[in-house]
Amino acid sequence: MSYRKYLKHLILGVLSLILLCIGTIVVIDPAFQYHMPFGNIKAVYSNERYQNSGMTKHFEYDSVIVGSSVTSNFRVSWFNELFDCKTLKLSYPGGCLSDFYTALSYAFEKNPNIERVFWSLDPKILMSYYNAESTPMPDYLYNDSVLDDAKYVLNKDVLVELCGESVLATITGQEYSIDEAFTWDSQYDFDSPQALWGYVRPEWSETVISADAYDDIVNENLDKITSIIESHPETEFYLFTPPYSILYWDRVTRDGTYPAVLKLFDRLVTDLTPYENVNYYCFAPELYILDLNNYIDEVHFSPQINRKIAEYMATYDGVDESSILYMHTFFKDIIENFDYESLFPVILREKPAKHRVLDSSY
Amino acid sequence: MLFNSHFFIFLFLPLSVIGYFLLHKIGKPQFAKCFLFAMSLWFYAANDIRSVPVLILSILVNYYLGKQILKTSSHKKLLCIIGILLNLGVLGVFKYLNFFMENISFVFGQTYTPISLILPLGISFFTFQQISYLVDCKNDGAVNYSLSEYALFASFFPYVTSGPIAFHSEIIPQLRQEKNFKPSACNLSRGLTAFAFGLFKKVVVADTLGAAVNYGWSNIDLLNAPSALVVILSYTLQLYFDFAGYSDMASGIALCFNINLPINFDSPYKARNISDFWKRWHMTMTRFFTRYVYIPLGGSRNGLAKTCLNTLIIFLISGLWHGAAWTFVLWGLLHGIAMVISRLISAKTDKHLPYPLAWLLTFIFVNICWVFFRAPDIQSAFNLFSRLTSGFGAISSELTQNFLTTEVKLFRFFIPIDDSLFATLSCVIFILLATLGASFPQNMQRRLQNFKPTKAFCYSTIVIFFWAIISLSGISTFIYFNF
Repeated sequence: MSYRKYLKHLILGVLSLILLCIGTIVVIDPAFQYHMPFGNIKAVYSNERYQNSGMTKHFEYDSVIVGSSVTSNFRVSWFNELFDCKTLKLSYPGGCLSDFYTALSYAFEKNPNIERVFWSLDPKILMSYYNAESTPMPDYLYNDSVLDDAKYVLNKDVLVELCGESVLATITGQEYSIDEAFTWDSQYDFDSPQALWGYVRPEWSETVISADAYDDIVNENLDKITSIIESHPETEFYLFTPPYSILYWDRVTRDGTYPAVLKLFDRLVTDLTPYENVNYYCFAPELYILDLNNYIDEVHFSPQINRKIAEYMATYDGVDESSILYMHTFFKDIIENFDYESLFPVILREKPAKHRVLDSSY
Repeated sequence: MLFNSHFFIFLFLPLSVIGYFLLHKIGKPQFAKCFLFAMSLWFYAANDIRSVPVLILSILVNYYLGKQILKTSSHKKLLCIIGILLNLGVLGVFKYLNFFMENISFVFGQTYTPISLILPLGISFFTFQQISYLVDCKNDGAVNYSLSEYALFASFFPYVTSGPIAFHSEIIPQLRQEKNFKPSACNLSRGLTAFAFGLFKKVVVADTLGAAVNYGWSNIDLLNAPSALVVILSYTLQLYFDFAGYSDMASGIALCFNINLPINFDSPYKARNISDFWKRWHMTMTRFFTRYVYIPLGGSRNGLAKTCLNTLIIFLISGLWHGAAWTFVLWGLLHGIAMVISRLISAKTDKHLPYPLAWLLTFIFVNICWVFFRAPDIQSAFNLFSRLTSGFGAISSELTQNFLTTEVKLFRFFIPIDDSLFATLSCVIFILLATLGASFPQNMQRRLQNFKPTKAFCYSTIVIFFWAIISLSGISTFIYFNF
């Protein structure tokens, strides 16, 4: 083989495979970037970060659910029924505030007539850096430029996993409903042993962490949230703090961040409720957070609680500044006086999660 | 802009090659060099635009100084020393100022607030290249180059950010040769093949290992002995495939312009002793230190004790060159001590250990040293070592998950075993294959020298190239990027 022939074959061979790859991904388009599934091609909902942007572009909706994994188990049908709307869920497990900001900004860009936004404001996320990205966001899918589309149409994961799933579903005829899209509740048992299993109990903090310690982080995050609220006065924002379990309160009590968390809860009420287009709900002071049978870990609750949240927001107005007193009473009476030791069976006290990981005999 | 990006592969590289040869074709070799210099600046600016003035100033000042050294007959040495001090001064300010000030403050019990400074990309590489030019001017080893030739030599994009440290006498003559003014099917074939394999090593192998390494280093306390071992081995292999991949890509790109770069990497994990290792790892850096530091210090001409001292100095400098931190200094010192011991043993006896045993001992030593190289601080390195005695058990599933790449998952359908066992198996096989890949086959740099275009090689390159291209999405940076 001559060098010239080698070079020609090499370039043509690579280009042919590239074109084949691009063609396959554009036709199947598992992340809905260019079109909705057509013909017999089935949509499989398996990767929120990739697929949410395409759904934002091509789905019909007038309401949006946005938030972390605690929003994954919301069924859009609940919201459609309770609020008489057409809802799109944009959940980002492991997400940070910049993910939600990117998703919401893009949704408003694609659909300026969004009437309602249901937004989960997780305390853990609000007390983390705006860009504290634990899972990379494919930003190139959240714009209309074709220049960066190579990252989508020449992408091994998209080609093999997403297209593969779609082809498999098409062959087997399996249907995936949008209502069940990205839910994970069927994979777990919600009970106390499961909730306790992965919980690594922190040591008591030796230093006192000031209530103001997280001010800079919280200010930046709240500024981002309020900037979206102010930019869309016609949209009604249903903002809510999800009901983390009592294990979360055990953690913040022991690691010394409890005063900062309380301050955050106050700030959410004082900073968000003055907006006329905001209904803010705080689901932290609820008695069901004490029952670990509602949880799979420190923060993730059962779909029954998701349902309760949706129903509550559809039925009641959000809190106002007078609710701060109730929140404080709850925190003082329940959280601060809770017998946390009673949560832990003896065996878990003897072998905290950190050691269970190391001990294969356990 | 990284070599492993769509923009580079599909736009920047083709545009550079086509533009360069078109300008040569219309008989404008000076324009061709200027064009390639402009492209190199674009490449450099795309990585960090704030560093461009530093690179340009460095080129202009060194070019001017080189001219003056060549012109004068009486002040050669003085001008050369001024030039070297200027270069080291710039390198010192940008790279080492905070490190030295922090340590001086610590010694005097003061607190020091680090100054916020940019670290110009590749500053260690282009500074050393230009120091070598000044020294050669002083020693009459350089000729009068045009500014465009010199600027292109100092900024040529295949090596400006991460080496190899090429000498002007290796690059500029090639830029001048008329036979290199036309595209060569032979060089393009070799270049693209090297690039394809380098890209594959980087994005498919090194980045997979990197994910496991990052997990391990972020969760040292959760590692048991086998997991700690996996983290240590993975980093050793990640570094190999990252650097080998980069070197292959750099050589391949330069070949597309008919430029042969010096070999920088020659299967270092085949080394039978530490001295052999340094003849194979980052060869152009070793060559620079030998020629411009070790030999001027006296090299091995002044007795065994002085030789050992010079060796230690070289390795301490090498450690510091890799980064302004005590971990790098310790890494360099360990290698220096090993080199000294190796030299002392060689002075006493001609006997050698059997190759497998010598190889194993060298490989283990290199692994240990890389832990300090990767560690954020010395304490963390010892923490990782301490995990090696923390008890046996299964490899952490969070660690093994990182080896479940898309291609590995395809095998899942055919291997009906438990998920966690499959992940463990994937991890073990991946590391085993990577170790074999790093230890046995002939490396690409050597293979290029005897390259023969065959159908089988062509088709395997097509598959490898395509596989690497569709593996590009994601976040990855070269390890050898900020030195």
